[in-house]
Amino acid sequence: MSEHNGNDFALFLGCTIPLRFPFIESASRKVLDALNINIKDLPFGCCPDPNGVQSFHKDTWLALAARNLCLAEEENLDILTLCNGCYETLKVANFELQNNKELRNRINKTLTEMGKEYRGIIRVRHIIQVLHERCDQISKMVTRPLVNYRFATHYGCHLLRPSGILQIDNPEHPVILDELVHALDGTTVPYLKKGICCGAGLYSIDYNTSLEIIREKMVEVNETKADAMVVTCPTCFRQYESGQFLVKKDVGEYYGKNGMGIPIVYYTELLAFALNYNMSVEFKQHHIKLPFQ
Amino acid sequence: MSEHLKNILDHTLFLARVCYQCSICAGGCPVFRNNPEMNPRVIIEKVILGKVEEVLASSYFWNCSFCLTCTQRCPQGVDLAHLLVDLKNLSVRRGSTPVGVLDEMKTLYLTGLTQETSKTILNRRKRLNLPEMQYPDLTEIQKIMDISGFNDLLKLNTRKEETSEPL
Repeated sequence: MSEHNGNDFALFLGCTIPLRFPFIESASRKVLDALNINIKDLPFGCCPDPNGVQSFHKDTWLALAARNLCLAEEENLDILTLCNGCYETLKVANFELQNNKELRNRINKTLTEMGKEYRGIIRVRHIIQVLHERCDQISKMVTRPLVNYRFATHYGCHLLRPSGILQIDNPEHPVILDELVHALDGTTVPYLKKGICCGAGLYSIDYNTSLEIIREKMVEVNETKADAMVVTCPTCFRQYESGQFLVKKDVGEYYGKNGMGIPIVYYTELLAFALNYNMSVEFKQHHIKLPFQ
Repeated sequence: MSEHLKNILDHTLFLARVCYQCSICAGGCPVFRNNPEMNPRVIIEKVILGKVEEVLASSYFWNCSFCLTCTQRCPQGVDLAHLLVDLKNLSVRRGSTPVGVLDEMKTLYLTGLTQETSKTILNRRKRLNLPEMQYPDLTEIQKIMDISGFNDLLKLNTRKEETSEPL
């Protein structure tokens, strides 16, 4: 008997993955298929963004999140997210609506207008959590081990915090992503500032500080001479991949081998590669060339 | 002051009241390290002392990247990240939304998503043999935004933007 719970999910792609980094979607669909995890695509809207939308109007943020939760409830399926932002929003909204009756009544008053009712009967899970429960299974399935590669892991804020609600790992010393890389026979490198934010929330408001926050982490990762940085969130992916070009342009600082940049990779891409899937189309859509390309 | 605004303010004060100014929030804040003008400890101090107007006028709280490190680490359990969300909500009601955030809200209202679809991306999806994009029921999403008051706030902030009044 395996220790995981639940094999059927509503796949929550969010906005950034399907419309900006479709290779993350492609890799994720491959690995979910390989692990016999059943997914159903539903016409979800934006999660919505835990930073921007919540900052603009908290009740709308909750109502739109509740609408998405309702769509999955109608199918009686737990939600599987690929993005930390979607995970934060849907898990926190689900928690608040389950535990605050007054809030639930207020939101349901709006949802009634479209014949919907939030009931609080499903769970929200991140793909990293679901994969981690299958770590043993994964390591047995690997046919192209990543023995010679060293990776710097970046978990991202909204996978871990607030840990009381998200309950995924220790927020100060997370290990699940490292263990998932080890399952592929890859090595992970220790580095300072592993837990700091990618600064994406600030990108459109305070550009210079956002770049400084990228630099803080990239300088540390650069010193480890890691072959690539592994992420679990498309927003972190964008911030570190395109961010390195912006730092190069605006600050004149270069990272990676020959200053070509440190490759950024989403975990399911690594997993799909280790499971011997042909990943050439996916990897070609990256702006910084991956070491095993 | 409207009942709703008062509720937000009360909530903010409720969150803040147990802070003893230890500064662990500022110590872990990735923004403060690089831009000391945004000091979460000072913001919460002013809120406790009733100087919310002063805080709202400064608008530094908009520089929070919502990483939740402060909320996670506060020994008093002050949910600082959400306290700043309350301040941002108040600021939006005055039409002071930063352009970057407002642009995202406009896209959300028009598409139900925060990313626009481009031909390039659809081609990339095709090359990856991905299924057709499933778009959400926009009528339903816009209806929620109309009922909740989101659309009115969008109009208010867009008007302010067009008349280029200072924040």
